[in-house]
Amino acid sequence: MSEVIVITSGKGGVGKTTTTANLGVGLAKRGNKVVLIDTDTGLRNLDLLLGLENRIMYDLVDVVTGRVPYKKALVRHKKYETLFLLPTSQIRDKNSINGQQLIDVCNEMRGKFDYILIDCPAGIEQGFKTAIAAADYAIVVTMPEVAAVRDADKIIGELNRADKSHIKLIVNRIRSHMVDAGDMMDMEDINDILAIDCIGQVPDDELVVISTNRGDPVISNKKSLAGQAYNNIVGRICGEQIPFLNFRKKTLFDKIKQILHV
Amino acid sequence: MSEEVVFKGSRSGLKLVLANTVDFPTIENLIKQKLDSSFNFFQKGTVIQLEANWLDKAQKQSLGNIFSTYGLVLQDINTDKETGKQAFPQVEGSTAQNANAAGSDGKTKTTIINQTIRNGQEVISDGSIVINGNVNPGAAIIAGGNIDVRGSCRGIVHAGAFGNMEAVVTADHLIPMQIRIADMVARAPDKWMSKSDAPYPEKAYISNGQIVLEAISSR
Repeated sequence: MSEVIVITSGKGGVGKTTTTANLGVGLAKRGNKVVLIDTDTGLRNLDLLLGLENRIMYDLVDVVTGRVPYKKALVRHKKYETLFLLPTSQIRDKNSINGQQLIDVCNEMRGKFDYILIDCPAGIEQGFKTAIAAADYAIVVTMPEVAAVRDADKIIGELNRADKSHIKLIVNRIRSHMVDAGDMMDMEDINDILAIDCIGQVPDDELVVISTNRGDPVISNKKSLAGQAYNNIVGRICGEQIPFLNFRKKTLFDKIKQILHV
Repeated sequence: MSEEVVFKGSRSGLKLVLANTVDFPTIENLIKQKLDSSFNFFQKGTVIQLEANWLDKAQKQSLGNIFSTYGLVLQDINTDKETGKQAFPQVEGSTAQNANAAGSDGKTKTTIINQTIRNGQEVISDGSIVINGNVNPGAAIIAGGNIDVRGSCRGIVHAGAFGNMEAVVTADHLIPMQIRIADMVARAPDKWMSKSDAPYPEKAYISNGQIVLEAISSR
């Protein structure tokens, strides 16, 4: 039985699509059969991050309107045999797909894949409602920043309203030196406000930008800290117990704090 | 979402504000949803004023019927202004009087909510409200009586919203954006407030014409 997971955030630019691409590759590398559905109709990016733009023939709108069966629209990844992308239309807009249609597509795919990941658009309008309709559970991506956490809070409220109570959190783009300096929210603040189970803390990493432009998700780069963090998240999704990465160097101040127990 | 149907509290009472952006059947459904989900918030007989002059008489009548099935009274303020009579078109005068009386001693009623109130969510009651959870930034709690937050209170809290100057706000960690009591407002400092700024339970109330905060020891 496949698991349908929606990756959402409310705010734009926090790394929904990057997270979707990396988790997809990570799950596929572990031998799972994975399909990634891009629901950001009109502003699709997931194909770029996976380097699959030139292979797209049909899209999600063609599938939901019944023009082609979903199998025809799936794009197999060039490197990972068990990873598929179901891209969306770049020409149409978010009103061309509704929640029920996406549920129908997912139900058709259920059982044929291990994981179905849905990349949600920013916002709380039709696109969001469509994306979450089919999901068994949701992963909310946020950043250690007031606006992103505020929007994540709103999104969690909206998910609860749609009866999606199984929600996990990923905190992305953490700049540890800024957190230490008190210029970014720390995990304690975020957990206190959002109060949902955190399954990942991903550091801000220049390699993410490089890999995004190359169309090869950073998770396959062993040197990247962000890649390692994504790998750990994949493990946690598969049910393993993995401690969080410690990507901050211990400073003298930390050591003093430790001694003083504050 | 569903910003089309909003209940607003003011000193003159609760007001139902409808936006002219969706069609009437949708509005009817939204109202039913809201009333179903907030059924316990409104005491029976509560008078709610209707603010939507784009509705015709039949539509207002059918809204009034929906509210009366929930034991609530819908009052059309536009009709009031225009004709200056028939304040309660849906019910006879005597019932409306009783309804008013029931509404004013609603202080004794307490609504208890066992969940975190998140950004964009709003809790309104004409009685007191107890939240067993956090009130997050961007959330609003509006009560005719007192407000007690058994958790961190970071949103906007408005106690005594219908003019009760005696109302108090208590919270385990009282770090709200704004505290409003009756018609007074106190706002948070302009710096980022964290839990450590309010490590112990506090109570806010009106004293000598301003809102003051005080630690409470027995809790």
